[in-house]
Amino acid sequence: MSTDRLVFVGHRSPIGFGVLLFALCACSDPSIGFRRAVAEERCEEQRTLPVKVREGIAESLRIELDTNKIDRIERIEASGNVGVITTRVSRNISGWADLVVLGKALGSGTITITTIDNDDGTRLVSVPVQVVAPEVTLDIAEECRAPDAGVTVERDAAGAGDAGVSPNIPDASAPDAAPSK
Amino acid sequence: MRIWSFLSCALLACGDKSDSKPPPVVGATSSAIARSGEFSYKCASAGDAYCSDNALFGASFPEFAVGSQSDFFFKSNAGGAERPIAGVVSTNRLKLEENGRITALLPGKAGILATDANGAPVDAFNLTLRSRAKLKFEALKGVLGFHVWPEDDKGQPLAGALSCEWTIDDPSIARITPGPTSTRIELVPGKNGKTILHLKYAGELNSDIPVEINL
Repeated sequence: MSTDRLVFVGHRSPIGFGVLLFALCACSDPSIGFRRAVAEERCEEQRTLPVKVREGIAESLRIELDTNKIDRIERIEASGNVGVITTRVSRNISGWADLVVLGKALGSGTITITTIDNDDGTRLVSVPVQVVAPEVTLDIAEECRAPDAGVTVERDAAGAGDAGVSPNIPDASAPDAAPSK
Repeated sequence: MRIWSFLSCALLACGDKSDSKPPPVVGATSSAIARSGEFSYKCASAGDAYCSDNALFGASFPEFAVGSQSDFFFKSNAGGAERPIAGVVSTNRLKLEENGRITALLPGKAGILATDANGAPVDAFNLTLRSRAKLKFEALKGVLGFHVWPEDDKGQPLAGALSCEWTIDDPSIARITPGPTSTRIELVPGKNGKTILHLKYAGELNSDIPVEINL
């Protein structure tokens, strides 16, 4: 009899399953991860990793973290084929950093963000970065699209020397479909 | 035909007082990406057309010719002296030499870096580098002289010092001023006669210009 009840609660009741999940989440450490990278001036937005930056130039990016449990960002470092200049960081729960990311050479690198939580201490968030060819175009941010899917901004095609040329817009259904080289 | 047009220029030049010319512009500035200061560009030599012809300067930071050299500096908003830049984002695109001198290697965008005392980057700026599509060479208006400059494929003048050398077969007939390496020169007439002015520019443009002085 008691065995039947256990089976019923664990596998048949959606409410019981939800309670179980909530209990598991509440007991585990709060996760911190990458939410998105936004290049406001270029009107580009990246929601998938690795974050792409172009080779040979300095790109202004805001990196937003997916977190609701940090008190501040303490330090940002770069390794591999990227460098970083930290411009501003959030001093509260919002978890963002304004950076100038330097694509030193084609290849990969990592931006490491050190966050501080007054209760849980120091946590590191690693953001892999891919340095791509200068002429690569990245995803247009949603707010830059016209209501009927047109593009309302003109971007400077870095490296190609053809400012004013209409950007290549990747398929909206494949947000990471921009060519990698 | 060309000789006679030059002669008429020579006559105008004799009566022209160049004291009223505006001083030459020798650089431009632009705010850094992170807005912590200003990057500035200064001509590396008289072979930079921008530095001998004020008319080439526009409102914005110039674009630079591939193969040319320029000097770059950074001045922080926090104060202190202007310092030569000490880093570039990619050595494939820019070659950094001493005292902030840059050689443009490839067309496209290319980052330069301001660094702190420890060599760590503190701000950046992206230069636009363009291939030379053509070299423009024109006679000056109102004076006996010439100017030469590079342009990209859209007709935009390009900054940056390139090799420039003027020579004249008989300097007693006409003298080159301000100097034989400037992209903009005027000829000061001497004795009457005919001679040839030669130009070698950017390793590409070789021109022999007949000059006749008959005053």
